[in-house]
Amino acid sequence: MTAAELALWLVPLAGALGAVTRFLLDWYVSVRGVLWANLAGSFLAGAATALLGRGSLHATDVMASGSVLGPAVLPAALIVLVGFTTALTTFSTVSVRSAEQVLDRQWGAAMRMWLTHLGGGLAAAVAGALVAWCLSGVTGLAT
Amino acid sequence: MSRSDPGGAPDHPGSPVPSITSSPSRRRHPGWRVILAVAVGGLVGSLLHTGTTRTLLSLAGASPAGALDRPLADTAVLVVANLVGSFLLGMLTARSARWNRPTWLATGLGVGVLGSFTTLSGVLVVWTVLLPHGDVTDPAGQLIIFGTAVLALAVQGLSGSAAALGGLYLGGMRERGLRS
Repeated sequence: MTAAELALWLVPLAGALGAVTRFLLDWYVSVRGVLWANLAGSFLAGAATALLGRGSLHATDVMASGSVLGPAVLPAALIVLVGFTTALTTFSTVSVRSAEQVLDRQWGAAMRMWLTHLGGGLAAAVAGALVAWCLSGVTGLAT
Repeated sequence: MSRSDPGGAPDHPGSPVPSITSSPSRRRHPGWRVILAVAVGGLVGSLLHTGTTRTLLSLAGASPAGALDRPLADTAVLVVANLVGSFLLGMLTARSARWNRPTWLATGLGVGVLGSFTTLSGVLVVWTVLLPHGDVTDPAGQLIIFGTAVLALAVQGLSGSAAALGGLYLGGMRERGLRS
């Protein structure tokens, strides 16, 4: 079994780990738990996709396009990391909680929730990409 | 948002059942059955996510290697998954607030399957991967990309709320009388 095939098997397991991590954050860190999961996941996803290159949203894309760097172990690990962040971050919970706020006539709170998750997540993803490029430049990993 | 629910479990007959998406600060261990349900749900949701997005992308005929039209194709595919997941979680939330289902089942389906099936990082990195590459180097072009990203994300937020609202309505929740 190659590293690429192994990665595709590990992605669902990483997804399970991501879901449990998000659940425990939400359970123990209270109302901000899902926000932390989304911010941390966006940071990691930004870093992983920056190293993998464009068009690397999906695991099989990377394998098909051959956009790999160095030995196959690193992109495989990054693909598993992307699978983890996809499950760690969530969209539906934010949708439902904002919809509940709309039902409560709390329009401002619903807007602020999306602003913090999408705006904060985008900032975290860009920060993750910048950190990854800086690190890969230092270590000479990037193309 | 803070609710004084000590346990979160429906073992107080008189009190309303907390929503599966509500997150009162709970210190008590959630129980291994719930954690296992979330893990299995997360695995299934991850598989569903990969399967759905791959199928939709190949149906749309998107090229595997990154072309410039790819962010919008990726966005469209992920938006479909996110809106379907938001709608279903809305229905599940409304239903589980009224029917006394086992906690582990609703949490496994909601937090596990639907939480993993939908993604926030995916719709964000679609835009960040455009940043370093030299296709668009002029400031005006970069401004257009940034504006498109902000607009696309705003539309996704609004439509996500609308989809969840539709799910809550169809699930029977007209107002939040049950909680807080």
